[in-house]
Amino acid sequence: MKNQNKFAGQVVGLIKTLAIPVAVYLLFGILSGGRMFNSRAMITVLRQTIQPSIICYALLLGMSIGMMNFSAGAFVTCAAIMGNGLSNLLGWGLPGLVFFAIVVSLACSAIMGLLYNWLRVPCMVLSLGLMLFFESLPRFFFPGGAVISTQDAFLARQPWCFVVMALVMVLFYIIYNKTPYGHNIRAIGANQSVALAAGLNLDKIKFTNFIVGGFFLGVAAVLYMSAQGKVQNVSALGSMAVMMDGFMGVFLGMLLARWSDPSIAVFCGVLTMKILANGFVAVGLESTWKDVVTGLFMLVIMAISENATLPAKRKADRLFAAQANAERAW
Amino acid sequence: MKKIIALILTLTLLLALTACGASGSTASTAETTQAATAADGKGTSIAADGSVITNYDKATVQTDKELPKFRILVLYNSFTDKLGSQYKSSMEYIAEPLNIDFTFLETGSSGDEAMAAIEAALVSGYDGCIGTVASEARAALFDKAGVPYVVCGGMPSDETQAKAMASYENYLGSVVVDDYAAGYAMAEALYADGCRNVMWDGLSRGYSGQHDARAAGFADGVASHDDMKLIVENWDYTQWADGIATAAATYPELDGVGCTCLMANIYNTIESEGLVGQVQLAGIDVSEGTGRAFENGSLSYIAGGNYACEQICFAVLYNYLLDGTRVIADPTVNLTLNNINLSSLEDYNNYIKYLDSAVPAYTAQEILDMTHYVDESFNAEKMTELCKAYSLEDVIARHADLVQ
Repeated sequence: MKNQNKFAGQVVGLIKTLAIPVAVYLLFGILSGGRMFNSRAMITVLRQTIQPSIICYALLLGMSIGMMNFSAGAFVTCAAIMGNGLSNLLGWGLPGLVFFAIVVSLACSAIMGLLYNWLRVPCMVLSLGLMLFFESLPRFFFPGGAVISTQDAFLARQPWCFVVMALVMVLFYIIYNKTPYGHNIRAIGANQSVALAAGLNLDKIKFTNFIVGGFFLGVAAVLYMSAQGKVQNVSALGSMAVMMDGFMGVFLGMLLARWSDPSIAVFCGVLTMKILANGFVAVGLESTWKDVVTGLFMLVIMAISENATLPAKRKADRLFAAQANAERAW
Repeated sequence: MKKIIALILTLTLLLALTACGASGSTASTAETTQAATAADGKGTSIAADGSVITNYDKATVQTDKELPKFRILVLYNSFTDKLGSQYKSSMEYIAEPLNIDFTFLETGSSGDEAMAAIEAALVSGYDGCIGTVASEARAALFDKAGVPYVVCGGMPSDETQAKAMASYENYLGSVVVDDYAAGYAMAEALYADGCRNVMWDGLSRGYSGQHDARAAGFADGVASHDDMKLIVENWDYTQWADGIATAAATYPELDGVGCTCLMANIYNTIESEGLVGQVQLAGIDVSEGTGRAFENGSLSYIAGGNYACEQICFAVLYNYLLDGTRVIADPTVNLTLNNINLSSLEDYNNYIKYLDSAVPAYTAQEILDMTHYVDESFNAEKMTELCKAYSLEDVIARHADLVQ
């Protein structure tokens, strides 16, 4: 009985999680005259959701403990260019790209983690500075960027991209829910003071958090390189464009995580943003309107999220006030 | 903690040793599509570090008197991408024979940083400058420094700005490729290949005059055919490849795409989405993947050869430096250079052979022939005619004996 209730609760939670992306999909499907109601359109959206979702997993790990990382995009471009460049130099092909992209991303994350613990600078500030550094770093080694051959770029294509996504999703689920590290970041996220009092080593956990996030960003870099075919060096915050889809999706994912596991919620959050973006193409509206609507959509979602408990709180306050008045009158 | 740090440092050390110890392009998996007849090591290729390098044969000119020496500053975002590499190499090609001392300054993409870098560079003293940004601020900067300035590939955003720039004595004008004609040609090529339901995939409106001109040309080209329709448009800053994938999924009748800039990921998308044979491409900028796209039949048209703009700009500047002659008569009106139009694999191979091999679009002698050093009657009208004559056939005719 208990297991049945738990299962039913999970199903209801999953339905609630899927409600927003399904609603957005239905809206744009109707607005586009039914053009989005076909399997190819859905598969296209799902495929485009994968790389930003993996970036989103890395961002979520940080934001779970109050660390906002604006340099995720820079890590991805740096790892993509340097990973592919090193692989090309050695002739290692795709395995080389995977290996070096993850290693580079881990190295970047380790540097950030060490600096964070050493300098005690807010993560947001540190990440802005390091973003400029890691955007520029590949230029010293590979000034022309990186180019990948078509036969090595298959990971960004179906069905391989879905295989990668499934593996990453399972890995994130295990890390977040079944490891001491995952337990610790949830504890810190719930109440850092209590976690500290309980004896958790915050510096070590936060450093580990950077490393784990760096692994996901390395995987995202492989997919980014495979999808783009050619990645050029960026500068002056150009890497923000790489992480923006994930960045928007993480906020929605955090809202949806109330009803289901973050591994699913994050994917659904990014999926919603991608449906929004694709819907505008299907409907024929310009990207300027897309940016405006996306911003407003996020404001509405965050307003609902932050104020979700407000009606209940006001009701409780009214009851308390009524009780106090009644006691006073008596 | 210490173990993790040690592991990371070890991996970083391994990384550095790998990068330092690896030799050149021994096993690069990057594609470089070259025509079979292109000379080894000549033209544009991708180095092992990903940078684009362009090599030309040594240039010579016939002259009976010493050419005056000039110091010229050349500005661009980055000289490591394909167009930047061609800009730089086409200038280095003429440096020695024409007695020019070029300085190449990468200005990046930030306007403020670029202005600061240019101001610092101008302290060194230059006789002229070729840049790519057409703005009143730049025109004022160079006018204040007393340095003649000509713009390559960029143009004032509107008539008001054009007039404002022209008010500065040292602003010589802008040389641009005919983007409208390129856009129109894209639509015509798609129509010729049987496309009737097409898409425009381009840069957000208002962001760039050149891209807007391409879009306008494409729209007019589509409108010129009663049985051709523009069924979907994607105006975005970066998501052009995704836009094509989405459009193909939601508009199954889509059979052609006009794209403002055909990058590698667009060719990848056409292949990965299984659109080869279903959707034809037409666009701008020869790049990696262009040859393969012509080979698999997914590309109907591409416009390239833009780097010749830089050579024309040099001729404009050189004439002014020689004796004050302005070969752009009215700086408010852009000097328009034709595009190199490629519609087949044969065209592409000829492009590689004649425009991307041992000799650039104009030889050093041909550039000198555009100036008062050789032809004192050369004027704005002749320059305009020369630019209108620029084409693949024109280059083949001029360089048939020079390229093997």
